[in-house]
Amino acid sequence: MKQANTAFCLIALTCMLTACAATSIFMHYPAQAIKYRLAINNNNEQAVLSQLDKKRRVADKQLYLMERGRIASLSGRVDESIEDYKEVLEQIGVRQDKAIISASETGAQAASLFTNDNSIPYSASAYEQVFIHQYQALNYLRKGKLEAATIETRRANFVQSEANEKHHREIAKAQEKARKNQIDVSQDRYSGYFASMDAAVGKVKNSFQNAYTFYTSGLIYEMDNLPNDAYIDYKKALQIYPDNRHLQRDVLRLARSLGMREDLARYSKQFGMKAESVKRNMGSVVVLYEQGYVPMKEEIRLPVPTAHGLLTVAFPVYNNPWIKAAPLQVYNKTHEIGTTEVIVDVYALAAKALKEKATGMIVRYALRAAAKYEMQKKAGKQNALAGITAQLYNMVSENADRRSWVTLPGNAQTLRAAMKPGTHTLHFKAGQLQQGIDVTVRSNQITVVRVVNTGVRMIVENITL
Amino acid sequence: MKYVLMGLLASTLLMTGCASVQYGDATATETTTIDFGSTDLQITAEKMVDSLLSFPPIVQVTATRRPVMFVDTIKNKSMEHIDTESITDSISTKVLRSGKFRFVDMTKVAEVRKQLDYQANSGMVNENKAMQMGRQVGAEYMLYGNLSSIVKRAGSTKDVYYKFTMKLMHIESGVLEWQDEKEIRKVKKKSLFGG
Repeated sequence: MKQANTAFCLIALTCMLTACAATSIFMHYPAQAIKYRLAINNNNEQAVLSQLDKKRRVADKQLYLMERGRIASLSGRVDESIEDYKEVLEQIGVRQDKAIISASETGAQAASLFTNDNSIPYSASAYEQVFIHQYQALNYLRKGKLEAATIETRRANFVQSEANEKHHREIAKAQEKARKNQIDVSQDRYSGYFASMDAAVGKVKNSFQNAYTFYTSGLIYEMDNLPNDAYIDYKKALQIYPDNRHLQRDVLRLARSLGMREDLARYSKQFGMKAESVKRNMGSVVVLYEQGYVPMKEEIRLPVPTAHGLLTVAFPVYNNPWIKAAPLQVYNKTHEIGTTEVIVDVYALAAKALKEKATGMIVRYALRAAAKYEMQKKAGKQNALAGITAQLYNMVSENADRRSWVTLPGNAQTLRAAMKPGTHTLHFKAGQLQQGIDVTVRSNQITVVRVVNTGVRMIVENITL
Repeated sequence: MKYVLMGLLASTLLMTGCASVQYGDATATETTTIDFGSTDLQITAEKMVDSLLSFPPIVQVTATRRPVMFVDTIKNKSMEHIDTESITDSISTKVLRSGKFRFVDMTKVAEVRKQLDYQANSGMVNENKAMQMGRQVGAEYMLYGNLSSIVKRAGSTKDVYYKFTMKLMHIESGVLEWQDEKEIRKVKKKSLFGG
C-alpha cells in the first residue's frame, strides 16, 4: 500500500513537472525568451509572434504581451503592437483594482510556497510599465495620433510618480514581515552575492524614473506646440540624467524662448554653454537610438536564515558587467552631423529594480525554503522513498524567478540637430553596422527617427509621418 | 452519488443562467469602472448645453436669428483615451435640436469640395441645377474646449477628477462670448475580499 502511495505520488509529481514545462515554473524564462531576440535579430518575427499570440490567456500574459508588443513594433506591425500593449495595460489595471485580499492572488502566493516564485503570475515592474507607455506613445506617433501619444506620456509620468510612493510602502511592508518571521534581511549579509550588479545599480537613484521617457514626453509636447509642458519634462529628464549634451541644449533653447531668465542663467553656468540662437524656418531631426538588449537574470545559490538554520535557495541576479555605451554616429551626405548621447541605462534600471525588490524576495524565499524543508522531513519520516522523492522534487522545483522583459534595449541615446527644410539622407554608423534613411525636414517641425541596434542588425524607422 | 448529480445539475443551470443579454436604460447611472463613462458624457453634454443656451447674451443673440456655429475638436488633456468626438457630437446634437444655432461641419469639407467640383466640372450635372461654389455661409461662432484630469491613488482609494471646459468664440471679433466648466469627481475604494 505504502509503495502504491509513493508510486502515485511520483506519477503525480512527474505529471506536474511536465504539465508546467511550458511555463517558467520548471524551465527558466531566459531559455524561452532567447528565441524572441533571435527572431528580431534575424528579422523573422512571424513564428514567435504567433507563438506569443497563444499566450494571451496564460498567467504570465503581462510578460508575454510586453515581449510581443516590442517584437511587433520592431517588425513594423504597429497596429498589433498597439493592441498588445493595450492588453498589458488593461491587465495591469485589473491587477491594481483587485481586492485587497484576492482569492486568485492568495492562491498563487500559496502555490509558490511549494514550487517557486515563477508560479506567481508575472506583474510588470514599474520600469517596465513606464516603457510600455513610452513605446505606446511612439506607436501612436507612428500612426500620426499625436493626442493619443500625449495621453500615453501623461500616463508614463503618473506611473513614475506613483511608483516612488509605492516603493517606500513595499519596503516597509517587507521589513515588517521579515521582523515578524525573524529573518535577517540586512544589506551586509547578502551584499557579496549581489556584487556583480553593483556597478549598474550605482548608476541610478531608483528604478522607475526614466529620463528617456521624460525626454520623449517633452518631444511629443513640443510637436503638439506645448513648449511649456515640453520644458517641464525636459527639465525632469535632465534631473534624472544630467549629462546628455543634446538634452542640455534643449533645456537652454526652451528656457530662452520661454523667457525663463533665472533658469537660463543658472543652466548656462552649470553646462558651460550658451543657448543657441534658433534660426528661423529651420527644422529639427531627433534620433532616438536604442542599443543592444537589457541583460537576462541569472541564478545563484543564496543561503538564507530560516527556522531550520541556513538553507540555500535559488536567487536571481544580474551577472553582466556594466559597460559604457558606445555612441551612434549620424552623417548626412557630406559630413558628420553628430553622435548620440546616453539618456537611459536600462540595465541599471533593471538591476536597481531587482535590488529594490530583494528584501521582499528574501523573506519569501526563506519562508519557502522552510516550508519545503518541513515537507521533506515529514515525507522522510513516513518512508525513505517518499523522503527521496520529496528531496528530488525540492531540487527540481527550486528555480530562481528569472522573468523580465528581455526585448528591451540595454540603453537608449538621443541626438538632436537643426536642419534645413527638404529631403535629407541620413546615415547611421555603429561599429560594423551601417544603415541609411531618407527623411523629410519641415520648417519649425520635428522629424523623429528611431534606430534600434540589436548588435547584429540595425532597424531604422521614421516615427513621424 | 445523488448529491454529485444534483451538484452537477445545479452548476449546469448556473452556467446557462449566466449567459444572457438584456437591454438597459441608456441614461441609467453607469459605474462599472472609474474611467470616463457614458454617465459622465451625458451629464457633461447636458450641463454645457443648458449653460450655453440659458446664458443671457446668447439668449439675446439667438432670439431673432440662428447664428452659424462650427465645433472644433475637444482637446483631451487627460490620462485616458476618451473619444472626445463623441462628447462633441452629443453637445452639437443638443444645441442643434434646440433650434437656436445652425452648424457647419468642418470634418466634411473635403467631401463637399469633391462633390461641388464634380457638379461644376464633370459635365454630368445640369448647369442650371448644379450647386455653386463659393456660396457657403461662414461660421460666426466657434465652440471648443478641453478635458483635463487629475488622478490620485493612495492605498486602496483611487480618486479621479475631471474638468471639462468649453468656450464659445465670436470668430470675427475674437471675443469669448461664453465659457463654462463642469467638474466630475469619482472615488473608488478597493474591496477587502474578492476574486
